[in-house]
Amino acid sequence: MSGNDTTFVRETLAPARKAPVVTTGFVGFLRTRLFNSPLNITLTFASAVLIWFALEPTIRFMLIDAVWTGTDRTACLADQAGHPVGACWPFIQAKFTQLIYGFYPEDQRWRANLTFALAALLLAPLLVPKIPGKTLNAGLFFIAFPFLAFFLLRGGGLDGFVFYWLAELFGSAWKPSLTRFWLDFSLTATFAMASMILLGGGWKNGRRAGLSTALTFAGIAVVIVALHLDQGGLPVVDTRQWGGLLVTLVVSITGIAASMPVGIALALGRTSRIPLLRIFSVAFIEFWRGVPLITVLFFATYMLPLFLPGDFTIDALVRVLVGIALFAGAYNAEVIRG
Amino acid sequence: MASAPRRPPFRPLARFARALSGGTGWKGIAGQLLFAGLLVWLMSGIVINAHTNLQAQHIASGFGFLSGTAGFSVNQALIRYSEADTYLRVFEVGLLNTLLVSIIGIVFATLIGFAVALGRLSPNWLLARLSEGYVEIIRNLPLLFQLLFWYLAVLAALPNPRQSLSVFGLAFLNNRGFVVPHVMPEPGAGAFVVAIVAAIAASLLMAFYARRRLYRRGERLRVWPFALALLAGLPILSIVLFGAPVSFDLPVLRGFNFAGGTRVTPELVALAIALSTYTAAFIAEVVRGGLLAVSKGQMEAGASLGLSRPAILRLVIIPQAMRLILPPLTNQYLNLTKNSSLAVAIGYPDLFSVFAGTALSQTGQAVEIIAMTMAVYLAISLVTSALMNVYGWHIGRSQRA
Repeated sequence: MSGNDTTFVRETLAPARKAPVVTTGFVGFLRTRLFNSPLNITLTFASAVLIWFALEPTIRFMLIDAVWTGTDRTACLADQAGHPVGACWPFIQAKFTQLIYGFYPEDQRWRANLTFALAALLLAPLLVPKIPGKTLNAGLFFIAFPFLAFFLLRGGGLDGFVFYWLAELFGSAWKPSLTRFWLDFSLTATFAMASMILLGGGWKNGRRAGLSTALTFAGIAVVIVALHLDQGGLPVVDTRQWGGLLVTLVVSITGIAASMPVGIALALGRTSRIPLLRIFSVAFIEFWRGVPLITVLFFATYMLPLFLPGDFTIDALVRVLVGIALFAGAYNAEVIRG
Repeated sequence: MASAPRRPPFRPLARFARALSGGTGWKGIAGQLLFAGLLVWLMSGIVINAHTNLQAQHIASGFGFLSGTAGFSVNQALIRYSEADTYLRVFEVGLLNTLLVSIIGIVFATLIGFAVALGRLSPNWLLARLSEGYVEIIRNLPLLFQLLFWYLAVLAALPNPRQSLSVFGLAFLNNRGFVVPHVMPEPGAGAFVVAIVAAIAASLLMAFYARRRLYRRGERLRVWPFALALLAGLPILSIVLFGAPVSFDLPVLRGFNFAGGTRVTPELVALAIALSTYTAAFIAEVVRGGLLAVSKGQMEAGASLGLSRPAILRLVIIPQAMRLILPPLTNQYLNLTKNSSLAVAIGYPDLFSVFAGTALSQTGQAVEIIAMTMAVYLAISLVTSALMNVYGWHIGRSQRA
């Protein structure tokens, strides 16, 4: 047994191996992600066939067989176009404004445009964390904007301000007039300012609160003058004339905003220690979550008017909004609780 | 010497008060009384208003209308129904139609959903992108839109009966619906069903016995060949002895339409496709989330025990994923059932469409009909939720143990 037996040492160079399969680049991608096993090859081809069956008719309908120009419905007939007809784009062109505004009167459409431009203008800075003045911005968007949007979209004016409504509540409202309206307004503003200063801790500490109240009322006055709310306001557009994207946006934005407080209240109620509150919240949430939205809408349309006093009518759009707010509120509550 | 902690004195009144107030003292009880008073005031206001309004509109309240004659026809009824039947019968027909489309939808949604989830997790790039595109497109379009798309753009554009799309000459798809062979029971049906039930029961018993033996003595019994033989053999034996269980009445084109066979209405086809594809996209995300939530270490642990990949999936991954998947999956099933009420848009005679639609507009009994319809959906939801809670409690217990 010798110590220098070197039979295990290789005497010749190992034969050169083949270069490894390319796994990078386009070819490598095909190899590793699409065609690396018989199963995967089958899946790739099956997927390609599926995509073809979905895309081919769509493209044919939307682009190749489509009619692009025309003035009336005859343009979209097969013998007029000379080939089987797919999409009829002139129709969409002709009805486009109706899809956006419904039957909102044509000369009043600037109001809808202005409302949504304002909404976008107020919402955009709220979404960027860096921009300062969030409190003012949120206040404008969540409190001031809904009122403005109401008077812009629906129209109509104000008979009086806070004192007028209080008087009406006690059944002794006066006959509205322009001077009385502004008297009411300035009285309300003075009262609000005085109480803000008092609540803020006297003139010394409450000055700022009083000043911001005054500014708020100045803003309200500007809006009232701009929209002529004291003189009947913009012409009323009944909600039955609204339609299209306008209603979609109004319902979804109002629904999102209104369901939030409902959801927070229900979530707090459900986690509360007080038994009655908890039972009520659980029952309320489970009820709305257990029924389809369409029954809720039917409920709002057919049953809500029955539940209100006879002389009290409620707009159809508002009924739907109430239904959606309650429905979405119950769903929000579960998300907020979790 | 430490003494045992003294038991608190038994004061039932105080304990009762604490339970009532949820531990917030008398203030809490007062608040609750105020809240209860508010609720009672609201409810009484609603009831009184509803009563006066109904009287003003001369609408009789109560459920007496249910025995009145409906007088309208329904184009799909699983039970015998004619125009001379009562509103109660209409309610039953609608309920059965709702359950039918829900069950069909649930079966297909589960199949498609699991397939798409696996597709999205697949290493195959094209398949993963395809599944992803499916999920994103379907989830971001409203269900009502998809329903109308299938009904108006796809099914209505199919050829007329004479140029039907044929499925192996057995079933035919055209713009009047889907014509499939009609299944008719024969005398051998009873024996056939008994044979199948017996075969399943025997197979389950064998599997149970084999598992017990494996756990007790660590011996593996090979049962599946016997089970397979039983499952295939017993029904065949019954056919040989008692004759075929069913016969098929094949649809044949005669004139302008099909004779024989059963016609599945286009409404049902559209609704089933829309509901199952829509819910499948949500189920796919639920399943994918559940599978991804099982940590990678579990897979590696299984591999280091020497388990094969299918065994790891079956014994380690899926049991843990199922625990996470099942609650949201049930939620999706409930959503599907509730969404089936959108059938009213295409005229499929489900509960909502025939009862809260046609029957409501004929009788004007809004309160009773909406309440009954809501109660049905609510009952389905609450029973399923209760079952899920029991299951969750069971899972929680087994996790603690």
